[in-house]
Amino acid sequence: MVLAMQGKTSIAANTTVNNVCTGERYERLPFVRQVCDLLCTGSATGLKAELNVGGTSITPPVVIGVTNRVPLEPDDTLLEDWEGFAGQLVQLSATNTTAGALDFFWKIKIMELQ
Amino acid sequence: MPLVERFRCSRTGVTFPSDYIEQWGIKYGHGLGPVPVSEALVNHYHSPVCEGRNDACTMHPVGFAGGQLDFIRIDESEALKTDAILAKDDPDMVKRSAIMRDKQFLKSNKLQSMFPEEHAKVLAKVKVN
Repeated sequence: MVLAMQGKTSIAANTTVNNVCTGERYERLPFVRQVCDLLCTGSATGLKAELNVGGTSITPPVVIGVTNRVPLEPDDTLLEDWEGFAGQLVQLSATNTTAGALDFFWKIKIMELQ
Repeated sequence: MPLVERFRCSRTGVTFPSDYIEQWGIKYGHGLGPVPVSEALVNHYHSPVCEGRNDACTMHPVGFAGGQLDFIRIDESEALKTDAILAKDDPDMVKRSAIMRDKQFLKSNKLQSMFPEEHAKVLAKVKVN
């Protein structure tokens, strides 16, 4: 089974949103075992994303691409096939390093492993 | 006045230098993909106002226009009025975000009600210009 979360989060100038997945349906991973893909883009240059899953750092803060639209596969894939286990918290942080507010577009695909 | 060569953004009307396409990915358009498009900024009024650490940073988000570029020849005096602030000259978006925020005051009821004094100053500036 494949599930997905997708969203657009506005990030104020020079601030960090600690977890854009807060309150989302699959903020905590639903399956016993799954592999996931992270796709993200920004509305303009200057956004960084960081992924932590279950307290483990998957990526440090990294610069993301700029397309000003929802992310598309495969062009906007930041990281594929990271694994997770049931109940682990998905923490996707977004940091705006500029003096202007920006939009952060993100998608997380969750693929159950049988 | 002599005519100068520019590329004009079809979406916002601002102009870019004549080497914009040739230097795409080198001097201009970092992170914007392989196809040369306008790196001018547009306001995202559909996204809510983001409250920044100070009032000057509180604004609607912005995004890059991505519009088609048209090659033009215009008077140098006209070019001085329409030339865009380039991303390479304003990497932290300090100058550009201030301009975009002023524009947001003209259309965003939310910003107008949050900062009525600033709104009045922006309106006065527009009338003078």
